[in-house]
Amino acid sequence: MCECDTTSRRRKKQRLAAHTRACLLWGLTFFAAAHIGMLIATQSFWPHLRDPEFGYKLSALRRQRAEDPDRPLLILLGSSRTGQGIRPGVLPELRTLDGRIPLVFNFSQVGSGPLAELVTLCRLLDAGIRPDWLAVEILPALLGRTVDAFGDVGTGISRLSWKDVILLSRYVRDPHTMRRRWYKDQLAPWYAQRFSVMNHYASNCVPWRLRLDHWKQLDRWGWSDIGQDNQPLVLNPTALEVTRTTYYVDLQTLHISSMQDHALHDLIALCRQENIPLLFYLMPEGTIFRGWYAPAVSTRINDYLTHLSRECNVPIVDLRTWMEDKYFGDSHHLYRQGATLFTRRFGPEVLACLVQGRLASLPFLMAPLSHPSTEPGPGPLTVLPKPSKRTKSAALSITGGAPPTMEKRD
Amino acid sequence: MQFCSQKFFLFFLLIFTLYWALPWRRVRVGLLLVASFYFYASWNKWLALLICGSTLLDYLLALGMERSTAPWRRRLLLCVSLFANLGLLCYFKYANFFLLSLHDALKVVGLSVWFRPLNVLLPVGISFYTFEAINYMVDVYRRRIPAERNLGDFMLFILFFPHLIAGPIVRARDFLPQIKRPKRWSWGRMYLGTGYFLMGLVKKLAIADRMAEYVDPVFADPSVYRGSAIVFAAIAYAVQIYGDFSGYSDMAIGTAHMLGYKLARNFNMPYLADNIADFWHRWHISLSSWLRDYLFIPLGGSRGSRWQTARNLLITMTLGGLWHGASWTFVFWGVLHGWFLVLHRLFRDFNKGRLRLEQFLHSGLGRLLCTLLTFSCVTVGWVFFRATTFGTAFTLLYRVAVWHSGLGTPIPLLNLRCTLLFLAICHAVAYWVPWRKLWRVPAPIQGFVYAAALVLAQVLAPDNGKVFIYFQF
Repeated sequence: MCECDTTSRRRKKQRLAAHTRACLLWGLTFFAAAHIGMLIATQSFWPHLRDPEFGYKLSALRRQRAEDPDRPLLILLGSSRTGQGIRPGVLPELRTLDGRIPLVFNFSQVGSGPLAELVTLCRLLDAGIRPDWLAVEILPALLGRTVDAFGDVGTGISRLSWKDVILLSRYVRDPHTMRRRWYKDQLAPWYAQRFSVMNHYASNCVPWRLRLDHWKQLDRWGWSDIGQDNQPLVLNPTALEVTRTTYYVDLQTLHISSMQDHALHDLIALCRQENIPLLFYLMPEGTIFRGWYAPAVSTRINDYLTHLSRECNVPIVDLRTWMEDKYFGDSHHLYRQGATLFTRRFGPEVLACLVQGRLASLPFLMAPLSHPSTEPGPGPLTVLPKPSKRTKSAALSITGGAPPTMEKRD
Repeated sequence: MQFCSQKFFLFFLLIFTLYWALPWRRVRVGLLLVASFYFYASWNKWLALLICGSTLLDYLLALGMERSTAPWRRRLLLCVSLFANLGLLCYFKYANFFLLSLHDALKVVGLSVWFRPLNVLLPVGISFYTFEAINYMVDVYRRRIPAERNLGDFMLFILFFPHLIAGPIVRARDFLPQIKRPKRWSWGRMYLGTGYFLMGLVKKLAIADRMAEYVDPVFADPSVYRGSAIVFAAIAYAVQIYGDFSGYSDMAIGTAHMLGYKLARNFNMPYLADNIADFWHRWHISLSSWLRDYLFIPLGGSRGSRWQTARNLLITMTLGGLWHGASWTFVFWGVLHGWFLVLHRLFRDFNKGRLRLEQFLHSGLGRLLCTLLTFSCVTVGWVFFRATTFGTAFTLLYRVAVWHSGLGTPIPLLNLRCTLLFLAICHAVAYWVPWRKLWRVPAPIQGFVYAAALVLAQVLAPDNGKVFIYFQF
């Protein structure tokens, strides 16, 4: 009897041990599966979870293209200034010389400087989208930054794909740390993408400072539809203070960063390689914002951009004084009404010249063009042969020297 | 090194693997000692040496106490130990508080004497390990346990890293025998340990840290928020402190289980308490039982008159409040709970013989009302516990009592509602479903729940890891 009891107890114990072991192993398996699944999803078919702004704009662009696949495509790249300031939906009809009406799409991303714009263009090409024209914003205050929306070894890392990491490794100051951080993020993608996931599916549960769901307000053409038509046109002191803390120091001490310069040259080289006519533009700024430029910095920026324009023979249009102060909320982002007005002028005066190949007649050029045509012109840029089909960015190499105004401070 | 950090995860993985790979008990104890020292030294290596020094002193005094037969010598050794332990606690934790209070008191009577604040760094967890050392010394003095002869075992009792920083406060008579016992690998224990750890992780990351988003802005500047926002912030703080501290305790218990040790349960659904005495039987159980055994009962407990019992309760709770932090708001919080306990005793005595009232209080509605009343009292107490000054606390209460307009909650209420619903479901499951039944749930389902809990904790983790609230005590 006693022996029987012992045996039964032992069996029960063994059963319990087997059950608990199975529970733990199942738990581990589910956990690993969840992470592997998330990793595959974010790196392949759900890019909007990794980089929501890019993912949603890409989907919107694809939808637009699906409506008329043969329509030529003009893409705008830039920062939140372009994101809020250019409304392709209200553009007067643009026509190419042969009478076609191009699709204009605002593919700007918050915080984008030249490096982020280069990454975005490479991503678009990888996604099979080759624009027929490209208009790229240059935000002068970002020209001095040694970090960028993507190049930042902090928050931007989780937005990157492996291809982006390879590309960025050539620019950032500490590629080793960037790669290490990226690998770490890939080990726990649910953790790395937690704010993106929360912003997608439970944005009301996210504190204001972590709300990143402005992509939910995009219109069909990629414009960030923030605010209303009847919004009072007054300067917002809080927003202005945020702007001041973000840019004032930059505008007082800015030196052109070699990383941003390198990225700009590579962007131009990539467009030449892909045969994409390109123009750069500077978005409007309010009087207060323009007043923050130290005279030396202002000269440095103007000299650099003029040199870049001459050196690479690309048009750079300076539209900083185009809009009245009342149209800005924080002296550099346009209100909805301002965006409408600006777009209606920007379209015929600037974009029309680009799509019709009349670059020499562009207004507010920072330097006259020596070869005013849309054909790739000669310049000091050299593109090495491509090693693989899609990673064009990795094949770029720039031999152009640094412009005279550029000082390497980093 | 926090339990919910990647650094701790790697640290624990290494220790866990080595621990179970080593077959010798003594070497395992040595490994845990080294790990515990490293764990503490990751904050401050000099303060880690200080704990080791104080532990060594207690070890020697306890041995001396055991060898001595003369009662006066035993008492003297106990006094030396208490003086050393409480002296360190007072110096590091209360010296500046006392100096500042003396300065303020002298200022009130017209004397202006400036005391320069001492430049001391508070050793993390000093309140916890001081109480552990005291319980050991008192038990040896009372001859309830023999003095520990092995220095390594004794040091592990004090320094064992899962409970070192914020408890649970372990008793020597429970823990020292566990160190002696040989440990064998057990899947059941691993399962239990993992379950506790995950539960703690969810409580900390998914509940407590999220609630801080409601609490911190309101307590930082209550004068701009309206009454309802303050009420929600107070409720959120009640949830936050529960999630934070019980989460830490669960992680400590889980970690200890995985290493073959059992720590005492520290929380038992405290907000389901239907009176304040019941609340203290469910909240920070290891501290309340310590206060009962080493303060309240030695003071006379409830053996004397009603007045004496009330006095003992007030003294115990006031010192309990002071134990939490060097601030008058903590003292007031302790006094408030002392009065709650006294009033509860008076009400209990008043009830005796009043059958109808007793019947109502034991009915479903009566218990619900009692639970809500207890929760309200506890939440009012938390306002003083969380506020850094009396001014802040009274502003908060005033703006609730006399309705003011102002800003709403810092983040949408949906978050708080979801958290409260989640907590209610978990409490309901824990209350009505016996643990034994959970064993019968198929392994894949249990595994899925484990994995989902971990992923949930990861997704809801805040942007900046918040330190456990009880680390400051």
